[in-house]
Amino acid sequence: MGFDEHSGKRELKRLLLGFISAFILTLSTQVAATEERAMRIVALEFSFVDALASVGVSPVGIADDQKPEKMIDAVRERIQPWTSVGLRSQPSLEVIAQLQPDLIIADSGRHRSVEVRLSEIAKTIFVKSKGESYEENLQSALIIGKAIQKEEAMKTRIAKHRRFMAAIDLQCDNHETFQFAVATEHGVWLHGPGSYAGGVLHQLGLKSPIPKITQPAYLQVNFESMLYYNPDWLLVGEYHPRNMFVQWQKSELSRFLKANKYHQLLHVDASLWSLSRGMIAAEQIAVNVRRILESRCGK
Amino acid sequence: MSQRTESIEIWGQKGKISLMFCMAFGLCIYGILASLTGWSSFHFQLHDLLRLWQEVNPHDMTQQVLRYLRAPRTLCSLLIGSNLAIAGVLMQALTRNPLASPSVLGVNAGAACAITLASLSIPIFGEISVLVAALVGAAIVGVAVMILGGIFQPNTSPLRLILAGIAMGMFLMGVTRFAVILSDEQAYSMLQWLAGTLSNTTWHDWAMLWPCSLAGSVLALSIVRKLNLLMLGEKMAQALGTNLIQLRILACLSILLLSAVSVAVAGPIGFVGLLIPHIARKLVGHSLLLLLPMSAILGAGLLTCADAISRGVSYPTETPVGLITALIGTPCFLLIVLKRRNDASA
Repeated sequence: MGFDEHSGKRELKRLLLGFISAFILTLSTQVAATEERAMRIVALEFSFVDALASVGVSPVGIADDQKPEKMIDAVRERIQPWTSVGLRSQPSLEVIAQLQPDLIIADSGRHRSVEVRLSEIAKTIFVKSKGESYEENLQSALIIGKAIQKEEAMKTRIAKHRRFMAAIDLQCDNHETFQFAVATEHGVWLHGPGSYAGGVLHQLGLKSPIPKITQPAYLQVNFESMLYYNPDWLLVGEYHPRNMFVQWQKSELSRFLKANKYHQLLHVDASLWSLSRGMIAAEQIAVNVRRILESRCGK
Repeated sequence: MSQRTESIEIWGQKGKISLMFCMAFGLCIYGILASLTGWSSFHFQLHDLLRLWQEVNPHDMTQQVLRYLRAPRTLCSLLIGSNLAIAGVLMQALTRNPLASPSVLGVNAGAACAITLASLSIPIFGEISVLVAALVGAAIVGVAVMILGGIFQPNTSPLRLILAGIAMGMFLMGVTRFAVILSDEQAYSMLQWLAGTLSNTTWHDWAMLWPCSLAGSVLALSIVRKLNLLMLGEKMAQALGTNLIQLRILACLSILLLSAVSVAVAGPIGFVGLLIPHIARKLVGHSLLLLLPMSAILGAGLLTCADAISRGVSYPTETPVGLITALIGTPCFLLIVLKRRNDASA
């Protein structure tokens, strides 16, 4: 009988333990499931994808303009396959809803008009992307890190990025001016020091021919203004093979461009230099610049 | 005594008209100087122009900028202003509608649509140059509107032409907007072009512009007398020996030539074709013999001045010249309409 009493208590204990462990297991599974669900993110700009990829998070949906090649390889390699939600300027709300996201990261400028409708689908954070500066991009990355509950990881990544940029040794005399420009069929835009690419060049210690404070981030120029700024190094990202800069090069005046005179006119990837703002992109730009200068400075 | 009074009146009228022409020329000269020397990082002075006139120094960048950038831009703005104004006069005379402008033929919409499609690298459109794409687009749409508007048929109402133009314009505007949305990175530059800009005109543009402008203007001058008769009414014009179908075709061809080449170079610039004929009518009256040259001079003057202003509004970034013409044109047009209403009620 005593034996039975003991064994009964033992059975009861085992039963209770079983219940508790089952409860803990269920709870942990639910927490894990919640965390898993929190990873369903839709990014409506390439810079957000860069930030997510920097801390190893893959968005389930991206507004990639239905052209995945617009995203640089370094970012694409870091993320899982995604569903395109259409154009960055006009993402498909229906496709976003179908993805059942937990978080939507939208541009504070471009997507404000659909704020209510995005918020109805899922929690939406608005972060500056289009026209952001280099420092603003890092701030945005931090906000994204908080939103995806990876604040510490993002802080660590930003610190690592800053160290990387500081360690870039350009091995060249930096007294010359550097300018990045994008060329479309109808015009040429200089990315000033307030722009993302301009900020990266500034971070690398390179001077811009554009006075810093007075100018907007993107400065549309005609040939006359280009000749006035006349940078020593001109890095051109072409959005179209038959662009305005190609026409300028055919002009009699192109010989006055210092970049032409010193053979320091270079064509760079517009996707990397203009579209892909973010830490991964900035590091690639920095490496790109270092390679260019190494080859030109003969070191 | 009455004969003397009459002759004094005629001389007074002639004097007034001559004065108006002088003033219009004055505006043109001011526009030319402002366009050549105004708002530049190189701080051009008038003596730079004189130095360029006296001796060309191929190593002087300031001189070369004046020669290769400012000079063609100023000449193009003169000619485009003149083209649009002449086309406006012809359109208003042809349709006998004071609210008609060259854009009624759908030329602007055709050029804009072709340019945006070319930017998307759509086959056929993607392989031809921007200028040619605009010219072809404008010409195709212009001819289509002329056919739909029934200008080859006798006794057609001018309203039909206007309606055909509006319908075609709306359709093409939809296609253009769709193309702009798809173009994304290029959308901003495309929108700038669609607002009308002269910022990248070169001697190459001038070489394409002047022969078409000359042909269109000569054609317009050749039909001026018959268009004057048309102002009296179609029946009266026919009774006086005017072949209406031939007149409509020639007028439309002239409008097409003048507008298409202008849009191809500078994008769709609004209000010049609509506003200038009204101002010119106030100055020299309704006779097309005077109205046409006065409109041409005023149009040239307005566009060169507007182009100079467009550089200064948010210097060093350029504002599309089409926005400046719209900003000048809208209040002027409203003033004309209000004055006309007051005159009518008085």
